[in-house]
Parts: sequence; structure tokens; C-alpha cells
Amino acid sequence: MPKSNKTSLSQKYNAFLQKDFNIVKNWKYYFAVPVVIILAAIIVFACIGFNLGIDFTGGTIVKVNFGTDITSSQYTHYKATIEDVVKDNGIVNYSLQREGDTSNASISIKFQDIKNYNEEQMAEVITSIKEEITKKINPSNELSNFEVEDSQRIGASASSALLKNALLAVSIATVLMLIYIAIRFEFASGISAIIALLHDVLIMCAMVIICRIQINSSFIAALITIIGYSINNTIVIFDRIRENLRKEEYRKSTNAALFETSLKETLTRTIFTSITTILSILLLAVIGVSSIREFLIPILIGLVAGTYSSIFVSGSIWTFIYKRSKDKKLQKKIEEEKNANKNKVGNPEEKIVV
Amino acid sequence: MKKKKAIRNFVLMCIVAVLGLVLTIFSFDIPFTTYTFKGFANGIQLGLDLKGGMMAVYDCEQASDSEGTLEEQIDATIARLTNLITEDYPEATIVKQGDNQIRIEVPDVDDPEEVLSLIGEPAQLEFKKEESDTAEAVLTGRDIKSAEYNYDSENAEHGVSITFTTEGATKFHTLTSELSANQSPLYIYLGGELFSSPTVKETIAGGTTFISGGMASQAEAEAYATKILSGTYSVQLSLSEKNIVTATLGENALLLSIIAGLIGLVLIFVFMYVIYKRLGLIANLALTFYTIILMILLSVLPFIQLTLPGIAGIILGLGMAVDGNIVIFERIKDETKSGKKIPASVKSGFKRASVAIIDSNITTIIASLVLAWLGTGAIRGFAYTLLVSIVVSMFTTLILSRIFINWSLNINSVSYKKYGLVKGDALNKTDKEEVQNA
Repeated sequence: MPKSNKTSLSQKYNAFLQKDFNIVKNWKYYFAVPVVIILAAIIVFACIGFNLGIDFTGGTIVKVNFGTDITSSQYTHYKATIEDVVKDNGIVNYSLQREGDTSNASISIKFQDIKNYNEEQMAEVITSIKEEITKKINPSNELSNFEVEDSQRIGASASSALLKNALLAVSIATVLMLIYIAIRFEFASGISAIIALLHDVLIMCAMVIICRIQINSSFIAALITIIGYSINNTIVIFDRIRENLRKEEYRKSTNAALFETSLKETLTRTIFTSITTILSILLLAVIGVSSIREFLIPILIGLVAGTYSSIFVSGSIWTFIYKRSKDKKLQKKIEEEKNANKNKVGNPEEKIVV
Repeated sequence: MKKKKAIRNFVLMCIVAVLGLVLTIFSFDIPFTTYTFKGFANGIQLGLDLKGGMMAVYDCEQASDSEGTLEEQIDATIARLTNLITEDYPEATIVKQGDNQIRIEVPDVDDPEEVLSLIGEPAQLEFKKEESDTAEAVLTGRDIKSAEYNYDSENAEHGVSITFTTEGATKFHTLTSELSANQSPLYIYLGGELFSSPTVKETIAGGTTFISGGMASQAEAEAYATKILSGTYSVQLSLSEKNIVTATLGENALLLSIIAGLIGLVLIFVFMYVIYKRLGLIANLALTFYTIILMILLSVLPFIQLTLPGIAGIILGLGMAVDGNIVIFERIKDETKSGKKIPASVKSGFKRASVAIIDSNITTIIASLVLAWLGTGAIRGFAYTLLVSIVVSMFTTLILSRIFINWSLNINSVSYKKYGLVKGDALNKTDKEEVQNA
């Protein structure tokens, strides 16, 4: 890369930083984006509901016993055959799994009921799936011990108790994080950081509903991952605000100006960190198998939402609710400075402000 | 001299890093011995989603004298089994299947018997006043809260400590006061057969008792405890199916994740070098140590079982380690821009960045601690992995990176270019601050 090109990029970036971002001034526009996404999700939800996975709804297990060992190429072939049969019968959500040992290999098929089908209709579908599998895999009975077992209903593995438990854990974690931030920073920062976190979680849920991604236990895990992680972006910016607040040169500037300065000072870091994190997760999502993608796409959404909220949401909220007069730590610091200055009156050179 | 020492240190660290990576990734036979060294990464326990494991299905039958519906009893049994199994296998899932079955899945187990022996051969436990199959049971398994092995050092006897539920405690109190009045024995039936018949010498209050006699060894007493405990399930369980299953995410899930992870790591290394030059190299060395230390801990800590969310936890920990280094380096950049010399910039840059890094890591630690405490199954497993990742990430960022940079400064502390830094105007306000601080 020619050197001049690189400097011009960094010059452009520096020029960009000189501009007014006006994030707080235009807060309505920036808040409108998540609000629109959430509203869209509510509309989609009202019209077609969400796409609950087998973990939550339960479903049916059908087990195919081969009665003998199968090679991995045979397995791939049988798997494809079974998948076709299942799909042809209108099943949308299913998973196949190899089971058994060398003397009796088997494939078990887990699938969810077809929407709006009653028990009778589902029973018909299941019977036809079983018949077709036998017809396609073992038409002339060459596998003597081949058998498609009777189907069994399987309960929801992610029960409402599990969900309640996760929700409780997350609520307690959030409250404790709020307390920690309120102690280390002040209450306004705590509230703003938690609202940003809530934003990220809501956007994840909204996008999952809009994009019709299956909601299963790995989505819950993704939500929890983002709750643990996304607050970091906000904290780094708030840390800079906390530091700048202590500086005399910002004593008279508005909250909005202070936030913008702090945001600009940490922007390089925000960009670099977001690039590296999103890149690593994206790689895993692209290279990994589809079941992994199911888990990582919500995480990617959460990471993007987290970067957005740390720049466009949390700062504005902080600007609105933070009152310097109520910040005891800051007041104490100002008081100390005053006293120090009084004592220093004899040495006026120290007070020159550049 | 300092320079020589620093160069030596770096060479040493690089050798340790390469060695560490080799020991992490590869397994090999140790020469001249019969032992095989297992690479740390190979020692990590994997979850059902990544490696497969065992599954078992139990049929449930309502006990003849029981109260409540079968559904309620199955739920109660599931709760009980969950407590029992997750103690040893935290990633186990226990769910209801069909109307009258319970399905148990435990990852990374080659032999289903390992788990099934925990559940025991479930048998109904009964305490009776008379020696007769048909006699009415005064206490049943449902009155027992727990049963575990204990050693009576006074009489040098192995035995089983039983703790009753509140209701069971009352019943047991009444029963023993009745029996002790005529010094008659208590008949304990397990699965319909007489198990033991200790003589009751005194009224027992307090809701606990110790059964001993006839148990030759600790193993035997433990087996009895398991049997008694398995008799406490609300329903009668009989094994209907047990099987070994392959990875639920598909066979290639783990391999592909590792490949993606390595490519990601290399890209991060390149990125850090391009942006931060020598500082970036230092960060890369620290990140290599993050990977090695984390792999060692994950394979050594017994409560860790790696699942897909766990992999995300590791990547996010890596992300936070990278972030920590970026936060520090950006600070150092700011400091040199304001005119400070490199060593002074490194010092104050680290000091200022540490506050932000510690605060952001602690919030994540808080979240993972709560999830580890309250979460169940996979969520708890994820929380443990995240917790370990964050702690290692903090260590490599705040301590290792710092040590490495100080060594590097001993080699060269004047070239702004080599560190990817920009030299600012000398006589600047912040420089004056530095003079004041000094």
C-alpha cells in the first residue's frame, strides 16, 4: 500500500473527528431506528407469531434401526434420503442424529409438529414418513433387521421452568451490574448502561422475530452471552466521561459536549474492537455448520446492536439524566480543588491556563 | 546489559509460547516410557452438542400407594434426578418424554453404566413395623430427603446417614417411640425385599438417622445409599433404552469451529501488527499465552464442560483481551501525541487504561458469577467457561502485556515509529503535568 494513501486515510479520519457529531442533538433520529425495528417485530409477532424451536414446543422422535453397522458413506446417503422424506411431508423444523453402536446403527429423527395441524393430521404425517422411509431405504428387505420404531412424543426440553430460571438469573445479574456501575461511576451512568443493555436484548429478540429465526435454547444462550459482553463498550466510553469530568477544562462544558468529546476520544478503540470481535464471530458463523450459525447469528445481531447503543443510545440518556450538582464524588473533587487553589494563591504562575 | 537481558527474556518467552502451543495441540507418546502425553486441548471435556455422549430412557410407573397424579410424580422425579445427576455431570439434561417416560442425556460419557449406576436400580423403600410383604409401610421413599455414606468412627462401622423430610421426620419420630417402647425391630424393605432390621433402642427425633451393620466396606455402604436414594423417587423407574449418541451439532461442528477460531486468531494477529507494530507483536505474544493458559485451565478444571455457547465464551474472552490491549495502546498513543516520552506514556497509559479494563471486566464477571450460581445445565457450563476466559484475559492484558512492554522498552525506548506511535509537540501542557507529578 502506498504510504500517501495511508496518511490520507488517517487525515480523513482526523478531519472526521473534528466535525460535530450532534448525536445528542439528533437523539430522536437515533432512537427512532431501534423503535422502528421493535415496532416492526411487534407487527410481525401479532400477524404470524414467532418461530419457537423444538426445545420449547416438544415434538416427535422417530427412530430408524438398521440392525447392522453402516459405513459413513452409507450414513450420509441414508441421512439425505430421510431428510428428503421428512421435508416432502411438510415438516419444517427437524434434526437428525446418528445413534447406536457397531451391531445396530440407528438414526433418530426429531421434528416439530406442522403448524395448525391437529393430532390426527400429525399422526397421518408420521405414518406416511415411516412408510416412505422403509420404502426408500429397505424396499426389498435386504437389511433383515431393519426397523422403523414407533414414534414417540418428546416433551419440551427447555421447559418454562428453565426459562424462568434463566430470566431470574439475568435479572439479578443486571441489578448487580447496575449497583456496581452506580458505585464505580454514578447512578446516571448505571441507568444509561442498563438501558443500553436492554436495547441490545430487545433488538436481538426483534430481529429474531422479524427474520423468522428459530427460538430455541441456543438463542437463550446467545442472549445471555450478549448480556455479559455488550456492557463493555458502554463502560469504556463512560470511563472516559468519568475521567474528563474531573478535568478543570471541561468544568463549564455541557453534558452533551463532554459526552461527544469522550466518544471521539474512544472512537478508534470502539471501531477496532468491534471489527476484531465481529470478524471472529462472523468467521465462525461462515465456516461452522448450520446449527452453529443458528447460535451465532443472534450473537452477531447483539454485537452490532451493542456497538450502536454504546454510541447512539447510552450517551444521550446519560446527558439527559446526569446532574453534576448531584454527583457527590465530583462535588467533593471540586471542593478539594477550591481549597487547594486557596492555599496556592501565593504562587500565581501555576494558575495560567493555556 | 538491560537490553541483552530483555532480548534473552523475549527469546525465552517465545520458546515457552511455541512449546506451550505444541503441548496444547498435539498428543504424543513420551519416549522411553509407556505413557502417552495428551495435549491440553484434547483433555477438555466436551458437551453432548460437540462430542456426543449417552442417552437413556426410563419408563415410569405409578407406585401403588402414592398420592397425586402420575404427571406430578414424574415432575418430582425429574427434579430429583436432575439434582442427583448434575452433581457429577453438570451438563446432563433430564426431560420428560411422552406421557410416562424420562429421557436422560449426558455428554462425553463412553459407558452409559457410569451414569446409570448413579441412578441405581431404583427400588421402592419402605419402613415397616412387621416382617411381612403385605404389611402397611409406615414410611416410604417419599419421606426421605437424602441418603449418603457415613462412617461411624466410634464403632468403626460403615453405614448410611438418612435425612427425612419434615413430614418424614414426624412420622419417624412417632414410629421409633412406638418401637423403642417394646425394643422391637424396624423392618426396612427395599424393592419388596427385607433389607435390614435394626432394633430400635430409643426414640429418634431431629429428622436424621444412621443405619449400619452388615456393610463390610465403604463401597458397599455407598451402594446401599444409592439404592435407598433411588427408592425415594416418586415413581418406579425401569430402564427402557440406553444408547451412545454422536454430536448433536453434527460430526464436523468441533473441527470447523477450531479451524474458524485459528483463522480468526491469525487475522487478529495480522491486524494488531499492522496497526500497532511492535506493540501489536507484544499483544500477539500475550494473546498466545491467553490461548495456552485458557486451554490448560479448561482441561484441568473439573467443572468445565465445553459446549457451543462455551466456545462463544472463549471467543468473547479473546475479544476482551484484544480490546484490553487496544484500550491500552490507544491510551499510550494519546499520551505520546501530547508530547510525552515513550516510557512515561506507557506508564501513564497503562495506569489510565487499567481502570476502564477492570471496570468492564468486573461487570462481565458479575454476570457470569450470577449465571453460574443460578443457571442450570448448559447456561451454567457457559458461565464457568466465560468466567475462566475473562479472568485469564484480564491476567494476560494487565500483567503479561505490561511485563512484555517493559522488556521491549529496555531494548528500544526511543523509536516512535517502531511502536506505531506519533510523536507530539514537546512543550505541551500534559508534559508540564508530568513534571509536576514527578
